[in-house]
Amino acid sequence: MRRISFLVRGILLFVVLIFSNKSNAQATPDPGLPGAYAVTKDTFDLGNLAYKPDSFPNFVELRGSVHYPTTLTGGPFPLIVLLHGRHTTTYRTVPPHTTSLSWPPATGYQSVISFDGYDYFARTMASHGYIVVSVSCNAINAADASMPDRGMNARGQLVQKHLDMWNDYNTVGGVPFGTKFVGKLDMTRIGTMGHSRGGEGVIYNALLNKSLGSPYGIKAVITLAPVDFHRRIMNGIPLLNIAPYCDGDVTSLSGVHFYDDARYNDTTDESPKHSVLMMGANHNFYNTVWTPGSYIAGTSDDWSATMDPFCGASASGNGRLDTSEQKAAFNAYGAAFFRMYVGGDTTFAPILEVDDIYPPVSSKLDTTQVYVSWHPGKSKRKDINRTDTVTTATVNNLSGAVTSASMVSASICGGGLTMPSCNISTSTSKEPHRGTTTQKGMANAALRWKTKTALYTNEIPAAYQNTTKHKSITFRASVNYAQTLPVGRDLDFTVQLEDSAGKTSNLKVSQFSGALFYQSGTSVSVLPKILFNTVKIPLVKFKGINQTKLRYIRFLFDVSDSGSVLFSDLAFCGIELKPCGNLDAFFRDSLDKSYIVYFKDSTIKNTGDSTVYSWKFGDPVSGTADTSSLPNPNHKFSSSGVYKVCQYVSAYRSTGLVCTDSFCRNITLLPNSIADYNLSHISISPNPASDYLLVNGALPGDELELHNMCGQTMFKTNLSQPQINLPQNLPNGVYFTIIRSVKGIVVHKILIAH
Amino acid sequence: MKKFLLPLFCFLFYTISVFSQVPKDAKLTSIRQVNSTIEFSVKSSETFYVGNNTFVLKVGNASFSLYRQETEDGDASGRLVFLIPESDYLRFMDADRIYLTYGQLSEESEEDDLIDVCRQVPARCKFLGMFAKSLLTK
Repeated sequence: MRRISFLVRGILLFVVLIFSNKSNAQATPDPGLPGAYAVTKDTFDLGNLAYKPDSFPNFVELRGSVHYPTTLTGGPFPLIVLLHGRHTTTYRTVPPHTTSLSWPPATGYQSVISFDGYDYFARTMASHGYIVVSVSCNAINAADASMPDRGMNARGQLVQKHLDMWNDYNTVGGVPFGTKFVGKLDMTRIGTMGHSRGGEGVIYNALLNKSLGSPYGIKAVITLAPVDFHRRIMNGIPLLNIAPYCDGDVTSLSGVHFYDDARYNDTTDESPKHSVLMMGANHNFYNTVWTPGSYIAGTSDDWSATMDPFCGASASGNGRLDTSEQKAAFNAYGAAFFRMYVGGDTTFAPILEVDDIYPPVSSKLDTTQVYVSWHPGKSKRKDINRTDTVTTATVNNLSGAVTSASMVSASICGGGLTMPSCNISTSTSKEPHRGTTTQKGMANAALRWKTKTALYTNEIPAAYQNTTKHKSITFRASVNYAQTLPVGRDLDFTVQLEDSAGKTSNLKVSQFSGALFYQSGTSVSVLPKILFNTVKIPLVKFKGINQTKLRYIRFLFDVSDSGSVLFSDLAFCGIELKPCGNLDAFFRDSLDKSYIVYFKDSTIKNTGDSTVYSWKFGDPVSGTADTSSLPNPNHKFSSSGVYKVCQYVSAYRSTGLVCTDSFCRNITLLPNSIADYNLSHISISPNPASDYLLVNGALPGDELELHNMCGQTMFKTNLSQPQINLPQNLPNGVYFTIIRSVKGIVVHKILIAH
Repeated sequence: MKKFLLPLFCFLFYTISVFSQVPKDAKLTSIRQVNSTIEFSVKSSETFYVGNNTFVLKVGNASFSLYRQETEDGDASGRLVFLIPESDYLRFMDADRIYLTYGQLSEESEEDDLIDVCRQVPARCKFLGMFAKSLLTK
């Protein structure tokens, strides 16, 4: 019966979306597909007692694995660091392979290699040109239960220690890799992912790195089914929290607080926060070493209530993901996030910013199995009603009136401490976002109705009524299952905009989102769960109103006779240019013969801004040649060594200088190693192309491949001459051109229109 | 006969397949004082789950989650030794109920609520008996 319910829900959502906004599923390229690089895996082990974190009583291991593009040409590559969670640490080498929580391994025992459990994800990322290090954390797991900080400071220090090690591998080399990775890592582009206790660990690490003056450029942090025992708040770095609905270990899904707590904590924070709710996922299956059937010892399905109608793996028609589905889901969403924020590939923004709610095909999920939330950075968001204080029940954050009519109740609750409870349950496992009498949580508006004439209105004051600079209206919402009948009924309501002339335009939430689903499961004190998910409605979809004079945003509860929803974070989202806009200095470099390095400007700048460049190559011996004002300069370095190269960018508009930004990176030149020809000089034109492509800079013997956006190879040829005639049966569209050379791979994106 | 077989099978399957974070035979085995800390030892014939949440010892309405989790190499048994400050211990009353839970199951509720929770979620909750000051050994 449940399965039928999910099926019906999926079909309804599909139909609704087909007839409203979405003309095309999978509109966004799939981030989870393998990339063009061949991948190699190595391991390293500097000893079980090789490092002593200041904050921990014991010595810990320095051990892990690294996945990287096999040829290592074309770097430096961004770095991803993975930290596993708490799990048994050793197992007996003879059957029945009893596990133990001790460190180091006793005689007759081997260490459990939890760090190997994310190899599937590491391979995906490495195939897209990342170096991925997964760190062992057994010693901390073995002794953290008696520590007030649960070993979180030590986890943060352990990750920092590995960053130090990889910085050494990048600059001077070291055991066991020698000079293999020298100059191959971009330590200014780093992403970290922590699972479970590792999730809170990478938050601690990001804060530690910041407290040290940010020696490493941590650009993105993923917390995967994390704990959040201490409620440390990370601002200033993009965050993705992944919450598995059927988590049988961290049942309170406490990682939602990483997102919630950071939203309004820092008024200058430009970093977006994302969350992904994965229905049917448990805690352990993200790690293959913790998954039954994938490892020799200590595995389990952490969801213990096996007959729960939704999460119970033994219940007929349950909603659980199997092990391969769960890994595929993390693989796709994790890759989207890192490739966007570490790699700078905004192709995946529609997935993370809730414009494209169709899950990537590689995730194996459908639209009823995954819900994404997005909290944009400060200058991409105008808060209408944060619903974070009791007063926002009557006055919103724009100082507009908040009113309701025919509602049973319209109040603010759930923020904890002295704020009223929403009276849904006594368990934070059923209400992960909420606060308690001793701890702050996320406040929300609670709206209950028993008539179709019920409505709730936020007034927009005159100063904010011109909404043409915004793209969408967003809020987060959840069904309040405790006040919604019949059990199992999904909800819907109308969002109405009214302009100052009284003209209105209505759209249903269900046309854009499945967030108002009735939560499944019945396990005592754990399910169902209240979880907030983003609803995003483009403003252009509201027709027939004057969007320069938008006066009211109204929720009309006109779909069902009764129901109850919780909502938060009502905002306008989209582009609202701050003075500096998106200026972000960045450059890439490539080596040529005789210590010549070619620098290619990759600065992100605002459309229409003019830019002025200044470079310092950190090579004073070269005299006046040590500086340049070209956008894409080259510099002949005087000798081998490590040089700090800095790029300074100034952006101008008609009003004059608007802002500046800089970016510095160490360039390592090894003696006698500068013989690579310059891959970055390969160019492809024209773009768009119709009949032919002109490939300049390639060598005879290089190969050209055209891949469509699904990753299929549509055309392949040897580059024996610069001009390549395109087959006329090649469909129009966007393609990736991949040039495979003995020296590496170069990827461009082109549009073909015959 | 057939109509009995299916429920029996389901019951057995369910019983066998249930995975417990709190072992069924977990019991409080000692309370002893070590300097200013009172150690409550909870033992089981099975190892206690090694996960990412915390075990919580609830005595009356007070909760404690700092402990040593010990598994002995070559021994399947497990032991949790909860570390309770003496100042908290002195507030315990005879006949306070003692529960062991995995995670905070009902952190805002009164202790009586846990009776029902333990009954309904035995995999994550176990009633360990009543506290008595006479249990303390120095």
